[in-house]
Amino acid sequence: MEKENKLFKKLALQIFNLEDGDVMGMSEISNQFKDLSSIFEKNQIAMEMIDRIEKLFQAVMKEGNFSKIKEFLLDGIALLNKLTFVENETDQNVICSQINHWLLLDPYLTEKDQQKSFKVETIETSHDQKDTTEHVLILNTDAFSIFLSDAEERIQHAQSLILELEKDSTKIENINLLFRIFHTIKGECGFLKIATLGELAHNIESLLDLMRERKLTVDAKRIDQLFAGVDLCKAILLELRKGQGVIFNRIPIEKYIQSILSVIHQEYPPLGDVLVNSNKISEREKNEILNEQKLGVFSKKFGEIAVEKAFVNENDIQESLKNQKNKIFSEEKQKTQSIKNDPIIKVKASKINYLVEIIGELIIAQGQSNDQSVNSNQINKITRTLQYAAMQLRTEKIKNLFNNLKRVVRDISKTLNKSVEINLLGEELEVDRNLIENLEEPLMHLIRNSIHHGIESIEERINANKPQSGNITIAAERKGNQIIISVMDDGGGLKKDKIINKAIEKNLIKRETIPHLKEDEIYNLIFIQGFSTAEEVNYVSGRGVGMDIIRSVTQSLRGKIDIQTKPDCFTKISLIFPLNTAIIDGMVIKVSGNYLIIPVASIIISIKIKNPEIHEINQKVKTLKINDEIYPVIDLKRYLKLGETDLSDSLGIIIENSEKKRFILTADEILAKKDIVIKSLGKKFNRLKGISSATILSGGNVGLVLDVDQLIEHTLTQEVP
Amino acid sequence: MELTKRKVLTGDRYLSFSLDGEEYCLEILKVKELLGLVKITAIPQTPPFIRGIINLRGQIIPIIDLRIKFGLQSKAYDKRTSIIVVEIDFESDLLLMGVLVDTISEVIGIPEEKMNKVPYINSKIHTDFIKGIANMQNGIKIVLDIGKILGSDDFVIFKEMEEKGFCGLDNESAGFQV
Repeated sequence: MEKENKLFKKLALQIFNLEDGDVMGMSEISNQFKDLSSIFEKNQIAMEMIDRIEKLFQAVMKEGNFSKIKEFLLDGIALLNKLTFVENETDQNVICSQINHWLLLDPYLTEKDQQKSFKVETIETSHDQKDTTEHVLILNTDAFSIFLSDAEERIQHAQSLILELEKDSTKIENINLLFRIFHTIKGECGFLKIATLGELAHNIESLLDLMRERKLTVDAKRIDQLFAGVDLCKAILLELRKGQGVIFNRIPIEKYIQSILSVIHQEYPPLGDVLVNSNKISEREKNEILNEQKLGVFSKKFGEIAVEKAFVNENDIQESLKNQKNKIFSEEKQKTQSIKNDPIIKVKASKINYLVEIIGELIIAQGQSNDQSVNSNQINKITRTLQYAAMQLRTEKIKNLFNNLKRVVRDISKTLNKSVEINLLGEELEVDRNLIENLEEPLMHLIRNSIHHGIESIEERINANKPQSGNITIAAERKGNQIIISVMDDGGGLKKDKIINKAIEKNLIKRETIPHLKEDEIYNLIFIQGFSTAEEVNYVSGRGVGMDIIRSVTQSLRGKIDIQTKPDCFTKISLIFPLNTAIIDGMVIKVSGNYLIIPVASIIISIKIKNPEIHEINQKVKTLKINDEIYPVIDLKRYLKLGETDLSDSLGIIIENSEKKRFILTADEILAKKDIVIKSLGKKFNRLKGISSATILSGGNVGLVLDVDQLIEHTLTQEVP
Repeated sequence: MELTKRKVLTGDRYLSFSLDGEEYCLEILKVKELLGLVKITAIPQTPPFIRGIINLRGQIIPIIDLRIKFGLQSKAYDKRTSIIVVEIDFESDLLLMGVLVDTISEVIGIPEEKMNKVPYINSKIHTDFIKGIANMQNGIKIVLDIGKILGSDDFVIFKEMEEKGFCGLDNESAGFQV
């Protein structure tokens, strides 16, 4: 104790006296810290502190700015000093929390790291069932985010494997692969000290081990158990991703682990119990070993720890293992992976986004310099290629999304007691990440609807001479400049009469309009919020909300919805999206000196309004009759509150909204069709109706990009009483 | 050789500017850039103190007219009218915005002793917007909390407000040909 005390005092003095730029002094102090580690060898937390200090020194020695960390170091030494005094657990825990606080004060932690850094695991001597709080220490945030995305990927993979296994229980290679996956996850958790996930993975691994030794049959119960495990893992990973000082008593894994243990222990009793029963160790010793095993995240086996602690000797273990009728889990040798010619690298999303932004700038600058034709063809070509390459960076395969959907179909069809097969087409298609993230919800709703309302019960299907199992086909394809994602079921189809009757019942349309309704319009009624022809509501669907969500998400991604159906035969709902979300084809127009852009995808044709046949529906809404068609007028001058357009002398652009209804916009001038680089207006303008974004035109002018659907809704609902 | 004497500033640094004859200032650390007047493109459905947006080297930035926000009389632009581009924290994002002022003066240092809390200036300027008043050698400066000023309001007006006669593009006050 005396010796250590002196050491600390000396160290503290040296640190206090050190000046900036004294690199020699710094390295001497750094070495002394390394020596300290021999004192604290056995103490996990202290080792972590010393590790952190070493890293700090590395960073500081590059900069030479020692004064920044002086105080922090002095505090750290004081804490380490205290640690050497303290004997009992409670005092230790007090110091642990002080150390936690100290770690957060690390001057080299950036703000973002501070949000992510968690607390040191406190030493718990008794495994208290109620207190399952766990705090996870993250020293190196890069390693942690890589771990997270790897783990998420692995769990996704595991899910697919289990799905396959369910269909074909003889696929032993799947069980082997699954074992490896959870073994790897367990290992990584051990390294990062994430005890709960590690424990979960360990137990699932044990289950899988029994399965691959054929001690357990692959039946529906096991499959369900595996899925439940996967779900718990997903939940934990989600919490870790949210990352707010993770507290695991939100995700109770105790019950699940018990259920697995009861299965495993049917096969053979745990080694601990065998040793206790043969009086080789006491019950207390057994618990001590179990706790230590948990803290080490199951990196050591029960037997290993027992021998280490000298409770038993090696022979006893061997004997007991024979009694247990168990083989020591043999390490699977990793098959050497076939060398891929195209390795995958992990890159931070922010880097890619930045690159895409810069390329956007390039296109704008290029647009502005198009007047001087200095070999502009070459530059044009190169810029287009760059743009295309950048977009490729932001895409990923739609496969992942599809895998989740498989699981959804399985779960829902089980719940609703319907037999459903799912086909997935085009999973290799590369789609912009943004699109994939947003598509998950609408697709889930579409599937729910198909299974709940579309696909009939087995009886009905037999009566209709259809195969017993319903079929849902989800397809992703690229057609020209569009991406089309469609969900088709071979169920009962949409029945026009049913829809019309329901619409009348809910007062959504008037009887008189029925004969005038086109087929599309009838089908589009199903998107209105609250509309549902379901006879019963269950937790899956029926409330009339799903379709509305699908419509609004599609609209927000500038997509359209197409419905095809045949009664008693099939229903196919397609979501059509433009290929590039950051650069669109736009038509630049001028209204009272302001530049506006209309997405070309919404334009039908532009005309000069001559001899207009104007009708006024009420005080505010006007319509024009052109070639026997009537179009409601959207007066852009009025939208901008700059007066009113004189319809007898104006240009008109006929546009179509996502529900295929046509309107006519008025403009002063129509300038040119251009590639428009979308610039967001910023969060503060999120609720603007009718304008989606802005862009910079050649000449440096700012143009406002119109959101056709919103514009129509805003102007017409405003004016129609 | 004469070395130019650098002014030694004590205390926190602020950028001072004037509005309607009164001197204000805001934290220099939040200031990203100073611009002269550039063409502002108006946006519909925005309250009157939102002049519109500008193109700042490829980025779109909204412009707030502090005169209107503070209920002062609107003034025609002249060659000293400037835009201070600030970066503020809004809902855990850093947003760039431009603040339209009459003239930009200088960078000043305000030591703590000179900063006084004031309960009330005038009804249009919310007390939250003001950090305090500094009694400096060359006059009194009102220290603004620019984060609160720019973070508080909605930039978009909704139907109800519209009916009361707000907003819209007003060609006279919107924009200025460069």
